[in-house]
Amino acid sequence: MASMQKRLQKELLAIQKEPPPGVSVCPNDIGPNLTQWIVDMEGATGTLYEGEKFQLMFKFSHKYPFDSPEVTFIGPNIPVHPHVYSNGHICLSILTEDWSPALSVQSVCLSIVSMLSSCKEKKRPPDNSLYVKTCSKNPKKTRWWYHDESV
Amino acid sequence: MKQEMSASDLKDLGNKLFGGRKYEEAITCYSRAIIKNPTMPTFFTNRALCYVKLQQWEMAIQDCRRALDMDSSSVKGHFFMGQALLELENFDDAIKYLQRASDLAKEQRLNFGDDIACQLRIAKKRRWNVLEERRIQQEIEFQSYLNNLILEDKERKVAALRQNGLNDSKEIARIEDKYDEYIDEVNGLFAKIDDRRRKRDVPDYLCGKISFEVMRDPVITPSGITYDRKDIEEHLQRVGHFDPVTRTPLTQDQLIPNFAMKEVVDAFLADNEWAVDY
Repeated sequence: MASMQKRLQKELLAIQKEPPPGVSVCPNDIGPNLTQWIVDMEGATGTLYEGEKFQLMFKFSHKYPFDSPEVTFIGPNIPVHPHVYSNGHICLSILTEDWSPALSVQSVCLSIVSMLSSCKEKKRPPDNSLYVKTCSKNPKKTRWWYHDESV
Repeated sequence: MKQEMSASDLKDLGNKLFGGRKYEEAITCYSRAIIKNPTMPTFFTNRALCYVKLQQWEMAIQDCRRALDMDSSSVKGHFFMGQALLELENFDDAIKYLQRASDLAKEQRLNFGDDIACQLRIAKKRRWNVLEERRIQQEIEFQSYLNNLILEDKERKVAALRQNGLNDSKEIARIEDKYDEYIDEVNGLFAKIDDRRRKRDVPDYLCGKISFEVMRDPVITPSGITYDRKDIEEHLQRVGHFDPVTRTPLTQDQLIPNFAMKEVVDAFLADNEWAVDY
């Protein structure tokens, strides 16, 4: 087994054993060779997203974990958030230039949960309509401008 | 083929054919080279590798043996011998030869990458699996033997009571309860062993922060984080010059072998052979 699959296998076991709050992975939602995962996520209680359900799609290249996973929101409910575009793309620095192979599905999920939880006002990014019209399908091809660290 | 080819020409031709995966033709060349000069161990090890590729394990072993008779420190002779023995499921000998190949490669500073170590891990794991299977069988046998002993003893006690004319149903029920307890206890103990077996896990602190596997060559960074050498080197080359956990600047020459961690890993693996290729 390639070392990438070995690592993903261990990540899958770990996230099923100790999922971050509100996060769950259904074994049926794991693609062939573990290269594609769908992760279910619930808005944390006491936040603007309480009671909402979201789905995240993780795609892993064969260079994982040296290459970051491609992570997007999918499904009918894309969270309305200043860093989440209506096509599901997420503006989060650890998913591109701040990626580190010591990060994992677990830690990425945790970052996204806390990104949502710390939101003060539900709104789309200011450049949403332009971005959604012009962007590549793969968010990793976007040159993100990380505007602020606060949200 | 030319008539006047020397033994070394024939070997070179064999190597070329081998490179083109024409193993049978390569074997013919090596065999002709051996007829011309039967004292070159490399002719035999090269032919052995062809036999390995063709999965003719016995033939590979024969050639390795002849090569090792001439040169007892041949890494390839030990390596291919170990591989063939592994395929024939002679795990003990396979491990001996592969271990020797690994030691010799280190002594002679030959770089076989992870190939020898990888075969060695596979051999150890497979031997362990076979032994484990045997242990489980023995435990099952032992468990049913103990169960039977307890049942027989119970019946003997009850029969003795009855023979003495004591048909005290209360006393008989008491004995039966006691022996049922014994059986529960025995089976409980065996279930615990089984449970431990199922819960086998390698502690996180023995695993690299990048591969999540047991570390084979642990190195420590100035931040005090330990990684497996191959992973942190790949990270430095592909991702960037920083420590993946602390994100402080890091270059390859700052990596220091972590021998204490290596000892801990080796001690763990010695007690937990199932984890050799975890």
